[in-house]
Amino acid sequence: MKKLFAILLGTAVLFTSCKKWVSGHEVSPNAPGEANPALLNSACQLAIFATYGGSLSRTTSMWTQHSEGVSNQSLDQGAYIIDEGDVENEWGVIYQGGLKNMRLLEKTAGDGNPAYQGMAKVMTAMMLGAATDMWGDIPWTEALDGEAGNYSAKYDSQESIIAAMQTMLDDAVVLLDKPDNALAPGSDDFIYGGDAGKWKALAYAIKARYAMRISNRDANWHTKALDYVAKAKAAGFTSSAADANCIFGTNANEYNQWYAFTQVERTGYMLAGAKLVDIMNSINDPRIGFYFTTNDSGQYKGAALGSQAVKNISDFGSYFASQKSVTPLATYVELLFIEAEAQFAAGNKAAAATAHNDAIKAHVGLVTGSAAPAAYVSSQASETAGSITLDKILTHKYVSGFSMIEPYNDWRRTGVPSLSPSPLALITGIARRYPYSLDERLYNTKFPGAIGVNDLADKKVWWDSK
Amino acid sequence: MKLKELLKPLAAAAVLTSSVAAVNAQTAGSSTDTGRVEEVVVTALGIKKQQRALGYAVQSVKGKELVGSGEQNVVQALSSKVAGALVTSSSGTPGASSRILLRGAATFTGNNQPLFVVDGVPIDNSTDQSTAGDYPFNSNLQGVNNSNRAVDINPDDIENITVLKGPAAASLYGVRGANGAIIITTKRGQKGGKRFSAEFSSTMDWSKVNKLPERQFVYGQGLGGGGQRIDSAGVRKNFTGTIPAGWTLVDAGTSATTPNSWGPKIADGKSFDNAGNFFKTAMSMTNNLGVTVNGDNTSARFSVGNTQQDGIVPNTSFKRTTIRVNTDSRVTDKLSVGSSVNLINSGGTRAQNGSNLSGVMLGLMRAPADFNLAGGAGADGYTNSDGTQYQYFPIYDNPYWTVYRNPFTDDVNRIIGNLNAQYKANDWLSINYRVGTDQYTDSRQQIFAVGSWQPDNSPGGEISQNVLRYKEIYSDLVLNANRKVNEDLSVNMTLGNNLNTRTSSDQYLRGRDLAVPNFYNLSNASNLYASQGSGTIKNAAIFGSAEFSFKNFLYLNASGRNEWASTFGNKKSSFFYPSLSGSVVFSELMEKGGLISFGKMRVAYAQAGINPPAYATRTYYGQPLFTDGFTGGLGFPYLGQNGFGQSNGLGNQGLMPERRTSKEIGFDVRMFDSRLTIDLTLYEQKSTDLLVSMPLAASSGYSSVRQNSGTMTNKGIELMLGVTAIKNKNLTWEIAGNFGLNRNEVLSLAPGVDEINIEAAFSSIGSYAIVGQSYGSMYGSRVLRHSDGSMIIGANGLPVLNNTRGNIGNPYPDWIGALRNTLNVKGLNITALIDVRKGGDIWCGTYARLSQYGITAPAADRSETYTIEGKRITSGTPKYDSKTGLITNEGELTFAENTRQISAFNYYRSYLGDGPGSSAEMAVYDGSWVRLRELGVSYRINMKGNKNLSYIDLGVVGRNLWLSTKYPGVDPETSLTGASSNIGGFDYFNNPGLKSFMFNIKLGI
Repeated sequence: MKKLFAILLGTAVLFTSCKKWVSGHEVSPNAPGEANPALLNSACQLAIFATYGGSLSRTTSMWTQHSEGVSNQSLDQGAYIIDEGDVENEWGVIYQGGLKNMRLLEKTAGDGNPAYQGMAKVMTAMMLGAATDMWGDIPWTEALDGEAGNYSAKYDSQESIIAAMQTMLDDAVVLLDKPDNALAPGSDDFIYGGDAGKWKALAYAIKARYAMRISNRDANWHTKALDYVAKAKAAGFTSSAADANCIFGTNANEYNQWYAFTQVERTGYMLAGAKLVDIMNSINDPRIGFYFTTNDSGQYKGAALGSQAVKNISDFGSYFASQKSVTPLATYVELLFIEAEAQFAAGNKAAAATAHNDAIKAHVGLVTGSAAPAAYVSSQASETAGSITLDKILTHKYVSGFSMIEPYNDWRRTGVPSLSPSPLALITGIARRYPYSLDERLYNTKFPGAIGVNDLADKKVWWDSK
Repeated sequence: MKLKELLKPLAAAAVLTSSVAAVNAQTAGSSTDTGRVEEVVVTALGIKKQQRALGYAVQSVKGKELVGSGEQNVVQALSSKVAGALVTSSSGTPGASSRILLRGAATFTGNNQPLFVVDGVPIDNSTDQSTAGDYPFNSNLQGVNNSNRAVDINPDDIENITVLKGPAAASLYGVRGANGAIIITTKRGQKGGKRFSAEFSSTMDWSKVNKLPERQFVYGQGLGGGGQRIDSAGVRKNFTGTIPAGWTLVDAGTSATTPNSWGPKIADGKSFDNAGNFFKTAMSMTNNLGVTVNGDNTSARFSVGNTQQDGIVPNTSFKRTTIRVNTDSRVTDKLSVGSSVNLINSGGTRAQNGSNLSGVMLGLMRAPADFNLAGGAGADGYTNSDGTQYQYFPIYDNPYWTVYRNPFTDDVNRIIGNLNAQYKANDWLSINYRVGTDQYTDSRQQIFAVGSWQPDNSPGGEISQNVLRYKEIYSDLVLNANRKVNEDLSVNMTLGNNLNTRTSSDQYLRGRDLAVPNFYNLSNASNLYASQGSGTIKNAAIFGSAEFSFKNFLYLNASGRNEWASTFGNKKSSFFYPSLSGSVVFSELMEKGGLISFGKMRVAYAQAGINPPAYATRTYYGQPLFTDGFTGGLGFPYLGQNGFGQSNGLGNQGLMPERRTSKEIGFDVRMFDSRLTIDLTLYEQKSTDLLVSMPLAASSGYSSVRQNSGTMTNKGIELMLGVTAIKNKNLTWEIAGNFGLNRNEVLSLAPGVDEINIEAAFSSIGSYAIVGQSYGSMYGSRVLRHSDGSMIIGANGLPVLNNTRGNIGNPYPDWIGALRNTLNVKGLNITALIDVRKGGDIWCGTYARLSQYGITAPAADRSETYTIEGKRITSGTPKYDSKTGLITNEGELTFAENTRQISAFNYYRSYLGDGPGSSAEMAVYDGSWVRLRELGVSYRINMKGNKNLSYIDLGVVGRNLWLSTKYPGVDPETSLTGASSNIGGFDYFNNPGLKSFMFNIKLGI
């Protein structure tokens, strides 16, 4: 009995000491459990840069034939061969890197920091915009709730997403107007250095962009767009100095992603596209030397659609593809083109022509660093009420929009410029959307059903048709 | 024989000399037939047990057999020697890791390999890639072939290995034994043994590449397109047949901006066998000296071993020096103490591998045949006259440049040791205490010369240093009581406590943009980066077991273990798991001298629990890195700013232990006076509440959540067979075979989820767990198929892709087996080991890419047109199922046999290759093989009467001298991801395997 007691006692001691032995190591020494608004803001902005300046902009530039995929994966992408497994990174950056941290930024900043909250809302609208433009109906109202154990989110209609974005941007404007901030954004704001006024102007510019985006669905779009353009200008969007850009640097992890892809890591995958080069050659565009390099014959030559040609083709130039080149997010030039298109739609052709001419001159000035040559101005930027056409506005917007996703959205919406599908395509027509991401099909129980590699020409997003 | 007598040799710590499994019958005649039946095996905690008493399957492999394989990595040395053990080497480069799985994969995203134990103390067998904190991808897909850390154990020090295949080891070793255990016993002195003995052995080894993808040497660099080519007069000629729609002629001729070999015909004598010139015959040398001294109360063995391996890839090597001292002393009649100390220094210069712009095979295999990689104008042949790299395509490093300018070196200093004491209180009670440690520092350095392409986004050169530290302290205290209840019944009770703490750290320093070329110090970098990580896991347990033996013929064992772990959240901190096993030696009931000389049936039920990994209970913040998969991406610090985002992995405070339940039944039958031995095991293992990093849809805001989810089973057969075909004074012929078959099935994952990604891989192919399928299924793009199974062919003559990805292959073999024949003719020993693997798919990304580039041998046939068998849709518009991607309205469509001819270019590029519109499915090949894994001849010269020398052994061994496989890549025993990953069956420019020839001489004193 004594023995038994001793054993029991010993066992009890062992149990206690075993528990003690293992305690105190449950928290990771490698990562913090929280972050402040400045840290979150930097992360959110980087997600914006990755989304707007990364592969979405490159792939869509191949689809609009600004550039041409000539080898490896770019060949597939240029031929619209992108399946559900090829878009997980982009989708993940938008939701996990961007939208989630933007929501956390808004929450962490709290009511005492309306500037951060307003910025978070503008960035959220931009992120949702990029997502819905490429994917159509996307999760939002039930999204980002993983921490509460809700891993599946229903898909909201594109119409409701764009409406939510407009409301969000209105809310952002109110927040950005508030003066009192406990924590002032500063160098953590790569885009505007903490200038809430510029963010307000940007909010209006984005509102204008998405008013225009639904032009096939909203007959009165131009009235709204013109209102937002005016408000953007009133808030300070009056020159290219107010542009919102992806800001890059000289370290490898800061490189402009066009530079990183085309000049460093994936050299030879993508080259200049014949469509854009031909247009620019035909109008003797002064920007061409900034956009592209000359080939061995000293000429600017784009690779023909589906040609896989690599010899004697122009590469990307320094303006868009050097280490610190900016990739535009939303610009004064774009705002003017929106104004031009909206004025045109409203029947105000003179105002349309003025905005058109100003946009071209502003962009040439921005890219080349000097005023547009007189001959060029007279041939391209001297439109009048009588001469301006929608085709001219959109074609010049197409030229100036290089490296942005926006020309692809405009092309889907308007069909300008006219493009023929790649001869390498497996689908009949140019892709008009991205396939839904594989992770959604596999793990989201509310996933509405696959839209895959074979559907890209047919299953248009909502605003893409009347 | 009475139990006491039987226990005597145990107490005396008898060294095992006889083999347990018939498969190991390499040497003949050393053990008597009756001796075999009374064999003891070392089980968990170094406890030696009578094999007949064991209710579960064990298999022993003798050290001699490991040495005989010539493999320096103990894991690789086990290949084809253990029934059902699936050993996969990552490549044939020096020090490359090998992975071992016993009874299949049992968990989704955790560790699936068994625990390695040396002299009773667990050792680390991890394989670590050096990974910067800002590296966004799975580092297992590239980098160098690192070692699994069991490579530090010198096979020459090993007396015996016991393989515990099921979770039987778990009740004693705890969670880490849940996948089985490899129990290594090293050579020791022996009380009563020869007072002084010594053995010196020396081995020379010559190795060559055994298999490479076959390439064409007819067409050179360029992109002629459309299967068109330029004839000798420079005239572009069409192939016969219809030119595919939409295919336009493009610039041909050589071009430094294409990696393709679809260019013009190479003039006679102008082609180069770059691979043939690049790989060399590698020479290795291994020397071992072992000295054993046996005194009255103390015995000791001292050994020193050194191996120096050169690689088939120039400038690669692996070196290992080991020193081991094992001592045993009897302090008093009741107290004996022992110790083991093993000092190891290992490391070498590694070869770049895989999806890696500096990858040896990537730059080498893709090289056009008209480009001589060693033909640069620079003095060394791989540079231009201005000193820049000589390349055929800008972003692929010249492999010579890579091996000479971009070395990765590692240097491991390690100590493994233990002290143990045994106190025998009386004739039935003993107390054992053991404390041991395993500690190492792995210092690594990677250099990328200025002008290299691998540090993806930094052609300015790089030096990075990575220091990995590991420390484990382990102890166990075991009380053992052995009472004889009466003449027929004995009871053996064990009660023990077990503690361990494991700490690891990883420090990574990197400097980029080197100012002075060829000067490699961090001070030379204008761009510095550092990252670090560390972790501690502690486990504690108390365990007990009771074993009953009745009349030496019926055995019953019950055990239980309660374990605590530091990695749980607030819901749980300890868990319990039991085991029960029994055996019946039914031959005891039979008459002696019958057909059956020994027969035993065993039954076992065992459970194991597994605690969560470290720090999985919370959600943290960290520096995010955003990439689309094509660039290194954007990360912090960024423009002088830091940034934190919430981690994409969700923690979970409610984690519970993962459970593994195993049932097995086995028969051990020896007939015809033990000349025929059969050992058969049938097992079924079920894993439940799997601790998984469950992937989530990104719209949840997260990529994964730690949770207990899913179930998976492994069912299988392990068979060992031994036949002594001839046995007489002059000749013995022994045949030993082993066979293993395992069927894995994922039974469930999570509500509403049928398929999960187990580890990040390529964007084109992943490794998945799919309900109803085998774990590790390959998941990728696939061809759209008609309901009759035929491919749907598009207007361009190529297969149409399915809208959704799916299961395209199972990397696990249908079965594996090995057969060894050993002939002993008057001391001359000849042994041949044939190894068979049936099934097991491999994704040959290498071959697909080489096909795309027109480099594979069949792609030389360019004048042919090809018609892919399948159906074309001639009218109607197909609709696709939103889950399976299959056509839902076949009835509304009309189909016709495809007659569209396509060019060789399109055929190889987009059908067999991974070019535009291709599917990953086409790159999956059967990895079956039959190989002559070992062929050995040895002879012992007994130096009777010689005072200084007692014997000389001479041996030659050929390894992998013959390989038969339909696999088009390198040796199908390959794994891109090595031993550090759960991904199996990926080959993307993996470094090749070897065939070797060794000569061995051993002197015994």
